[in-house]
Amino acid sequence: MFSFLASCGSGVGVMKGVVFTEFLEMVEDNFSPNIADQIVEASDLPSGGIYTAVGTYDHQEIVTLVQNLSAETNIGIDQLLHAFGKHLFGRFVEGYPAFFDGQQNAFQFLQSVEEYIHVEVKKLYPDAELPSIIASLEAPNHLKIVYRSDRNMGDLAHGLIEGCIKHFDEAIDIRRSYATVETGHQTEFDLRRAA
Amino acid sequence: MPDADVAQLERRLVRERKARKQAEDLLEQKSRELYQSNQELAGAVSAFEASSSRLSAILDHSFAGTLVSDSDNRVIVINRAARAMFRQAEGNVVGASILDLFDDDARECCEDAATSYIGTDDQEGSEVWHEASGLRSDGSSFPLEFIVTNLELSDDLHRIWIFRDLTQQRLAEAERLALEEDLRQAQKLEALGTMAGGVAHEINTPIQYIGDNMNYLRDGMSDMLSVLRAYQDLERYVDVESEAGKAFERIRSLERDSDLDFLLDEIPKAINQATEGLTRVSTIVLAVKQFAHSDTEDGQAFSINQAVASTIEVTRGQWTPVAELETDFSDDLPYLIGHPGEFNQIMMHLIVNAAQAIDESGKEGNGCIKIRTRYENDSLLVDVSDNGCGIPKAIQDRIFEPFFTMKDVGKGTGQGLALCYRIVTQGFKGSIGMTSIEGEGTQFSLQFPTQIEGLDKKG
Repeated sequence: MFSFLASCGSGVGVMKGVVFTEFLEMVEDNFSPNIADQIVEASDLPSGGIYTAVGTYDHQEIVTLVQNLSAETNIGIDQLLHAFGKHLFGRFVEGYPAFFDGQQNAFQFLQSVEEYIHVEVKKLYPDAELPSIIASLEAPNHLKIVYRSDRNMGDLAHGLIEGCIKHFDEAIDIRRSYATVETGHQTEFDLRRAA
Repeated sequence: MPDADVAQLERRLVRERKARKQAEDLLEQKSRELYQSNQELAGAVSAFEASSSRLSAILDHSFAGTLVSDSDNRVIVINRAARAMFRQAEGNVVGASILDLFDDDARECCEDAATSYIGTDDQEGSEVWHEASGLRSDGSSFPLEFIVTNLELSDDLHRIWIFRDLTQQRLAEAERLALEEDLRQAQKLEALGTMAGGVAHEINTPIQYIGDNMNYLRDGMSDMLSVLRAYQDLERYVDVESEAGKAFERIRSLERDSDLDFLLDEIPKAINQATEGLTRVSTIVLAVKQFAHSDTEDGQAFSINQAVASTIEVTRGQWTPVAELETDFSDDLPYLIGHPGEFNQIMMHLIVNAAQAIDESGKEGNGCIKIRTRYENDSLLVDVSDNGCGIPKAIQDRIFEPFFTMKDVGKGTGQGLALCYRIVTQGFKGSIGMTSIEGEGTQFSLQFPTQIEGLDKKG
């Protein structure tokens, strides 16, 4: 399940099937099975909307699905991706409790993503192209995260970070800023823990 | 249920079935890939094991002691030669510090050698061999030399240590030095022998004609004495008042003045003593000539009785002040093949040693050296015994070691018996043994195989 993070990867071609299955599950749970069926039908997907968590599919299909869900529900794409990020983190916690052993707080966990979780992801999916998530502790209550990806999934990353904060039940303020860099898009998250 | 819902469920069912089928296909494909990977992995493991075994065998068959350590000098691998060198079991060394294989004094040198190249341009280590003292598992130390090289494996620094045991090299070096010393001694002796031989030759000729003249004088004097006695008898027939009688009286006066009777008694004795002395000188000259006889390269057949006799004569000055020398020569001995000069050297060392042992024991009045020769079981046997001070039991097994001596400083180099041992065992392919009781005496027993069958000339 930690391949959720891998699924937000920087590779422009494909995406892990778990993103699609979790996305459709979220739509069914939060909206309705009918809406899930409608956006699949409306999207005219090359895969036919047939996904398995262990498969690999065209990244463009998730974009199409999110766009159609947005159209269907009149909710902004950014909000949908944000909500999806939070949903993904919840599933991550359920599926991989071992990653949380010894983790005391959100800052500590977020700092371990690049050095620990991504290393484990690479073991299972050697060809996964992972986003760069550089976390640096500027002060005891101030963490800076730089997220770089080709896919401009900053909203999804934001949702994941919020899911993390929610999991550790902390009061942390998040400020975002965007930038376009040579290798794609860069989103900076400035996290400050309430004193 | 509304038709729309039924249609939606049917679509979803179709998608789920297809997704399941897709997952099954994927599982099957991944299973095949996994099997293939396993096969490749098994092949790689097998190849790795073969390669590892090959490397291990190569390492174990290397004559150089080889160890691999980590950067903290903990031993990771030790090959067979190194285990033998340090007399260590593999399990005792792997994981331990390599410094444990060095003598306390050598550990600093070892650490310096391991780290000397760090920070220099030479990151692989230098090609400098370091000498140190190794430590065996039984606590004994031994000389060794080693070289350290660096190896980066998987980003970890490893060190390869190659050791060479210098024990044999040091022994060979000591042996070479001893041989050089022997050679110097031999050259000195050869020069002395040549000179002695020359002197003996030069003395021999005058000795011969002096001897001949002494024999002539003895015979002539005997004749002259007979004539003189006859003249003395004549006096009885002469009138003392006659001129002849007066002449005899003057002769009587001269006889009394010259103590003629004494002269007549002593002159023959003096001539005999001089002749005996000349015979003695002649014997010594002959012995010196024989002792100093130059050895031929291939050796020669010679009489050991004659050689022993010559040596006894030459060393007479050494043993006569402290001992009697008795010989028991078997007269039925075959010749020995070899270098008589070397044989003489052995006998000289043994006789001089015996005399010194007697001198040290304080038995000068009762000192006795016995030399016995015989022939048994195709071997010539020579026993040299003395009733000197004997050799303490504690050091009896060391007396043939080079440089071992029980004499006072300056009296012996410790090379004599070692030289005897080498000449007997290597030069004559024989053996030398010793029995000794401290305070009672020592006997050296030498055995020389007669090497040429059918050579039965009697010496």
